[in-house]
Amino acid sequence: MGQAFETWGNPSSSHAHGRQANEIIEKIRRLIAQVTGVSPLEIVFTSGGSEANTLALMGSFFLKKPGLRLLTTTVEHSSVRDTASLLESQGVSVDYLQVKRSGVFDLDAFERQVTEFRPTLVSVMAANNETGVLFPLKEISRICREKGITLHTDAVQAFGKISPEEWNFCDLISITAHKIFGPKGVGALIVRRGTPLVATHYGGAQEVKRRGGTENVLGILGFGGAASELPTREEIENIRVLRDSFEKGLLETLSGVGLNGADVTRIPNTSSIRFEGISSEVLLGALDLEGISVSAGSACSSGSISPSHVLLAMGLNKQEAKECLRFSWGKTTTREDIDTVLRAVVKHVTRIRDRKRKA
Amino acid sequence: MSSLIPNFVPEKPSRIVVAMSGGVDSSVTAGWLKEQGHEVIGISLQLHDMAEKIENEFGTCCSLSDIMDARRVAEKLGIPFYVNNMEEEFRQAVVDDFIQEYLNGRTPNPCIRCNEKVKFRQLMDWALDLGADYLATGHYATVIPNQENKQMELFKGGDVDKDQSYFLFAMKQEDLARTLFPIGGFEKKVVRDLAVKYGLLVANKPDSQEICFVQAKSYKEFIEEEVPKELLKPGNIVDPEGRVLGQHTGLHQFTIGQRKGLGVFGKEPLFVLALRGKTNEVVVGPEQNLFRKSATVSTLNWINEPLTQARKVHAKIRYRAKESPVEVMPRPDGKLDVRFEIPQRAITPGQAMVFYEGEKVLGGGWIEDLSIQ
Repeated sequence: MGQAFETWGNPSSSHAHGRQANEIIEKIRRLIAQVTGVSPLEIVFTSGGSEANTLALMGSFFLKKPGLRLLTTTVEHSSVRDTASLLESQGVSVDYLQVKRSGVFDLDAFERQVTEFRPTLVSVMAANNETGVLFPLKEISRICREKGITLHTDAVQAFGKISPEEWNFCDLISITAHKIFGPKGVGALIVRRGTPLVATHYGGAQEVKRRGGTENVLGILGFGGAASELPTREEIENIRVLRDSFEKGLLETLSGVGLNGADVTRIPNTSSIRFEGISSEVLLGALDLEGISVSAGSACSSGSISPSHVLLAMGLNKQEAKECLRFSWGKTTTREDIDTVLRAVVKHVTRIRDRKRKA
Repeated sequence: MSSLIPNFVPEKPSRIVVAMSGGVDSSVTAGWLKEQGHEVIGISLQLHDMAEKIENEFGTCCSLSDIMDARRVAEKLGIPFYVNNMEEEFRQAVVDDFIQEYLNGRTPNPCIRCNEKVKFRQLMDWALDLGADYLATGHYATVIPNQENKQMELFKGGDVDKDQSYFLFAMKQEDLARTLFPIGGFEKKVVRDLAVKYGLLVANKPDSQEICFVQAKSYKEFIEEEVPKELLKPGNIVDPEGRVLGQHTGLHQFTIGQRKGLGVFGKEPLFVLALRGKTNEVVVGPEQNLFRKSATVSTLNWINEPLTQARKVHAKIRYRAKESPVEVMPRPDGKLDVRFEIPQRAITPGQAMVFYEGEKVLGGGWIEDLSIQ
């Protein structure tokens, strides 16, 4: 935290305090560039993943040459989805690609849609934030490159969980600090050299005129701290082993349990699981009261949970989608943690189902 | 005086789920239970999406801004808080029925239906799934176990002006045994003082007045927005002898006892006497014809033992009506004939009639169409 006091100055100021703050930002810019395998100049700090996604899409729209045509999928984060529908309301042609029932990206359909719809911009996430399902970005990128289409990827969920080589070849890339145990409210859009983009925030020449406004120096400092402690290859493999044993344990112990995105390539730390007959809020609450934090769908501003559009797009009905919980693991997760969570889930699911049977 | 009637609350520290609406009553319920040493958990149902109308603050139940109030109260009290989106279930169980009743020429009471089909069903289930011993609400009513037969008995609330026992007549024994109305015996003033004591921002929030999902609109506007035009059928306005006096553009615009907005005139002021769903007619006539001494009530629920023979009790024909002495007579078909000692103004089909003996709620049912009698 000592370094935090060095962030007091405005990085745009010429005086010593300003220079000190600027030095911190530039040091971390180099670090982020290094861990993502891009060049420091390509990093544009933002207030997080949502702003990065919005900037990628809106910043392409404001180019206005030769007229934006956006192709995206039905399972993107709401920051992409809502920006896409805003663009649609502004007269932009937008088309949506369906995923297969298992959540798998349909490459054939994508290729067809690219030929028929002729997009100028494709926005496809690297890994889904709810199911962890990975999309084949290399193939998608190859198709886009052949046709001269700009490719944006929302790599928020993939960053820190798979190698950057799996996604850093895209033209525009969104990442965020809080998905790698950094602070909330800071992230970056990676704008690869040669990719045109217009700023959506104005106020100064910061971030090489791609994002105006005084930088969140303290947030960026935290982003750097988290980026310097990304899990190693071995640690990631360990998370995968623990995650798999949790899923296996659950499926063996309980009936009426379904794994979303089973048999599909997923990032190693996410399990999206459906508990038949138990609404997600109920189980989420029961686990929370034991100090176990899990997620359900996407939380709206009131904290109320709507059926996940991702799970609906994967072919689950509303009822089924309201019975799913997401478990996320990290590099500090231990075998004991897995066992504790497993025992708690089995206990509550059994108790709730017993009660419903008697009622 | 903090309590007029003793009210059942467990002495042993229990896990109690509080249904929080963001209003002062349920907020104080949570705070008071916590003060008594219970493990308190707050839950809210989001029943209609007011997100796009968040700038409107109408002080009614269960809109988004109210859920945010509930969340803030829970944070202040330091209790866990969960929200469940039940827009669809609420729509089916309460709103659709509300609309259909109006289209059929009846005047529904959505709050009782919500208590019966949503609150004491979905909320109770949720509370039990969270491992709770009890579900508590901020209703002004009291529950006391009968020491002899171990049944729970339901009584009016401690604050005469705020008594909400009318809305609770449809409750079952098994639910009463698991439901607490911790502030039910308090006076409203005491509740507001407690809110101040607990440092709750909702201490001065106005009481809810409107039907929550209708909000600032009139119910007539609400129905016209929700219902396809072809379902709003025009019809005749007639006098009790069947003479046509004029036309109307839909039964939903009328309630019994209404005087304004009829568009027809007689020698003396005309009032809506009845709505005939089958023929789509509005019957109007002089005010004295609004007073009736009898009604039939169906779909009955008795809190304790059912009434099997004629008995003299008191009845309330709508929430804001005064109780009045009646003789009730069970019919072979399971319905109940009710005879009032004093003629009642505007007995309205679709409203609940609730029976009392002193402070005690015996039960109640739904007022049938007058034309069926």
